[in-house]
Amino acid sequence: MNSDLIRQASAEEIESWIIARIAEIVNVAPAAVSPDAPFDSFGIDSAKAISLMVELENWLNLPDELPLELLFEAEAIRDAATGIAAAVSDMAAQQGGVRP
Amino acid sequence: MIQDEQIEFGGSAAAIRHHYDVGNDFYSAWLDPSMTYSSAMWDGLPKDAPLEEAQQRKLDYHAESVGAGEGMRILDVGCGWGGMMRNLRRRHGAAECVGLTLSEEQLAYIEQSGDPGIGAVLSNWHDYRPDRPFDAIISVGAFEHFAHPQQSVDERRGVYREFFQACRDWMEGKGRLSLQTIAYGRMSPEDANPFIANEIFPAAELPTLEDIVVACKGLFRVERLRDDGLDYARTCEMWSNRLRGAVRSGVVDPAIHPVEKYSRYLRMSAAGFRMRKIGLLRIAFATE
Ligand SMILES: C[S@@+](CC[C@H](N)C(=O)[O-])C[C@H]1O[C@@H](n2cnc3c(N)ncnc32)[C@H](O)[C@@H]1O
Repeated sequence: MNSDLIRQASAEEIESWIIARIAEIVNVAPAAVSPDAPFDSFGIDSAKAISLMVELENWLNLPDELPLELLFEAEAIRDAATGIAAAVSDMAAQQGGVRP
Repeated sequence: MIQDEQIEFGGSAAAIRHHYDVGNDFYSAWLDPSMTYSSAMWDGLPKDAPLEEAQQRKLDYHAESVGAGEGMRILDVGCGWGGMMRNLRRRHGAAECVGLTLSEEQLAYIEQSGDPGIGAVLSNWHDYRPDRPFDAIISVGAFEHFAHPQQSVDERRGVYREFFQACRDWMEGKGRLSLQTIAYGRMSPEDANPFIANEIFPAAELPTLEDIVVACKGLFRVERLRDDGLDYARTCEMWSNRLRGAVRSGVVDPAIHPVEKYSRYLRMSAAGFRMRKIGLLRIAFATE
């Protein structure tokens, strides 16, 4: 993958990524993290939440920040992943990137 | 909203000058053109209204809260780069505005404006003795810094009470005060996490709504109260994005300025507001 190109991950890939990171932070198995639960139900503090966002942005290779509300205001992690995937493809469209 | 205080409390005079020599340009690269360094306001505006418009809305909101109008003499406690005073003069007919700040660079910036109706004083509100009374007082984004973590709840409330008493006296017992401050929300002072305590608000302690209500009792009546934490979340996110844009376009050099650190602080603050750990209070007080 070209180092400047956005990784156009699917909503499912993003969901798995977020769930794996939450599981790591709160120290449980990923299977114990329900995609139907809202992000703020895991007691993750703001510093760790921002680290998660920054890592996600780096993984996706985004030129811009993701709006935090996509993660915090979504009713469930699944919805957050859907919203983030949409934002990512918008950014990719702006960048004029092609699907891998 | 954050960093200048850290420098003021902790830094040497040389460090302060060094910081601010490059400071005005740095801040102007990501603040809106009015150089407002506090939360904007989207109430009554479209959700996607730009930062500039939402800052203008905030400035007008406070002006209206104190009933700013023709011929009035208005004090701005913690005036930053003076945007509030310029707006009061331009759009609300204020005759004279005085701003208090602790920053020499901000003082110099305001003095450059050349408007004889705007004055800035380098003074802590605690030591300030105006020669003439004011008709109204506004304070935005300064109250956060009035109390210290080493103080007990009663001591903190004592400081806030002194502030309210001073405001009352400066208006000779008659007038309005419009206050905007960050406050503890779901998070209480006892469980403040180290990030907020050490990194974001060093040498400062946030008030709770209760602190404010207790401290103003008998001095001011609360006329209007809002908690607009999400406004501050959005403001911080926009600042962070603008800062990133300024780096990309070469206006800000990450080798000179602590870009990563700022951006992280701004986003963490935004997260705190979104999680409602902290809130943004806008309170209009009246003496009668
Ligand atoms: C975050 S800035 C906000 C500036 C401005 N009100 C705005 O909204 O852009 C805080 C301001 O409060 C001032 N300040 C903080 N503590 C103060 C005090 N004890 N007395 C006077 N000014 C103070 C600082 O110098 C700075 O100008």
